Parts: sequence; C-alpha cells; structure tokens
Amino acid sequence: MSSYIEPIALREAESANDAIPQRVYPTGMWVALGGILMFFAALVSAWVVRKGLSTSELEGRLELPRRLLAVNVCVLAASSGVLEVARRRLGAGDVKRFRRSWYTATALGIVFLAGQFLAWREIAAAGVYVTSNPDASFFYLFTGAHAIHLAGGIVALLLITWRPMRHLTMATATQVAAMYWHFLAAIWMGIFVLLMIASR
Amino acid sequence: MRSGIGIAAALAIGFLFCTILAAHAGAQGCAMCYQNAAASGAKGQAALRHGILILLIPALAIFGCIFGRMFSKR
Repeated sequence: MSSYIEPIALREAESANDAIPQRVYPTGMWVALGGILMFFAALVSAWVVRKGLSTSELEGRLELPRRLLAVNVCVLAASSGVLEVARRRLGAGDVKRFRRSWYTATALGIVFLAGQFLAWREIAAAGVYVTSNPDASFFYLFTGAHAIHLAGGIVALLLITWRPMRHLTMATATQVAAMYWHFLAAIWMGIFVLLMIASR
Repeated sequence: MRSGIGIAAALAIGFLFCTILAAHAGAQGCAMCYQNAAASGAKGQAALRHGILILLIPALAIFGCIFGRMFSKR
C-alpha cells in the first residue's frame, strides 16, 4: 500500500509522457467548482426568498447548536491547513511526512462529518426535523449537500494515497484534491456565517 | 491592431444585444409568476430581488474570472 508513492519521480516522468497535459485537470476542477458554487448559491437564493415570503414570524425559528457548529468550522479549517502542509512536504520530497499530514487532514475531514452528524442528532433531539419549519429544512439541506460533497472529497483523498492515478502525476492529483478541499472548507464557512446571521 | 478591432467589435455586438433584448429580458412573460410576485407584498418582492442578486453574484464572478483569464492568456 505504501510502496507506490516513494518512486514519485518515476511516475512523474511516466506521466510527463502521457498524451493528456497535466494542466487540464486543474482547469476541469475549476469548472466543477463553478458548478458546485452555483448549486450552493441556488440553495442560498431559495432560502432567502423563502424567508422573505414567510407569513409568520415563528415559522422560521431554529435553535442551532452554535458551539458544535463552530467547533466543526475549526476542524474543517484545520483539515484544510494540514492538507496544504502535506502538499508542501510532497513538494519538498518528504514523502513520509506528506503521508502523515495527508492522513491527518483526511481524519479531520471524517471528524468534521461526525460533528455534523452530532449536530443533526442534537437538533433532532430537540424535536426539529426536516419538515418542522423552512429554516430546519434548509439547514438539513445545506449541511446534507455539503456533507455529501465532503464525503466524496474524503474518498478522493484516500484514493490518492492508496493507489496511483492513471493519468495524473502525484503533484497534480494532490493539487486538484486540495483545490476541492479548500473550496468545500470555504463554502462551509460561508454557510456557517449565513446560518449564524439568520438564527440571531 | 486586429485583435483590438476584434475586441471592439465583440463589445459592440454584446452591447447591441443587451440593448435590443433588454425589453424582452424582463422575465415576466409568465403571467402566473408575475401575479405571484406582485401579490407577495413589499417584503416578498424584496426577498425575490435579493434572491436574484445572490444568484447573479457568483455567476458574474465566474464569468469575470473566465473572461479575465482568457484576456490575460491571449
């Protein structure tokens, strides 16, 4: 399992001869991130309109587990930072420490998902479910959609360290994965701020 | 020089399209949507305007990034 990253130079050389230029992968990721950004923007837009059309002041009330959500933000931000550290270590040729940092970032991502699950449990324990009120529906929708995207990111992070990519060099694979990961961290921070402002 | 003329022509065509199509782009061709929006009250109408703005900002940002990159890499 750990034997393939070591001869990075060999793989980089092999992939350099590949027919697909490496620069297309970050470009493809930018396009995908644009699509995901629009998806979340559409959700936020729908939420804003729904709140504006609310006929009752009580309709949109939702007590959020603020402290737990704030901890989750910190965990995801830490994961993003550690992932960047891992990339730098790979760039410096320190494969062993790269691997350690990469796994730490992945583990922090899993901790974040567990934290989100706890937040759902806490809200559900207070008797607030998806259909309870529009704010609750949107909370579950935001966090659920983000969690699905993040779970996909975790799979990608694990795949990068578990087996070689077919056409990507290690540097490109980590770059593209890091772009996606940082983007998801930024999206969650944006959603968190919006939720906090709305639930004041 | 030729690329300058091309950019000017593209901008002129874009401007022409915007001005010609602006009246039809009122987006109120759907009578039901119009009635709903009109009946939603001042708060509802403001919410609709904000919702449209929220959709507009990332779309414009993406378009701006692509256009800026194209322009810098040409």
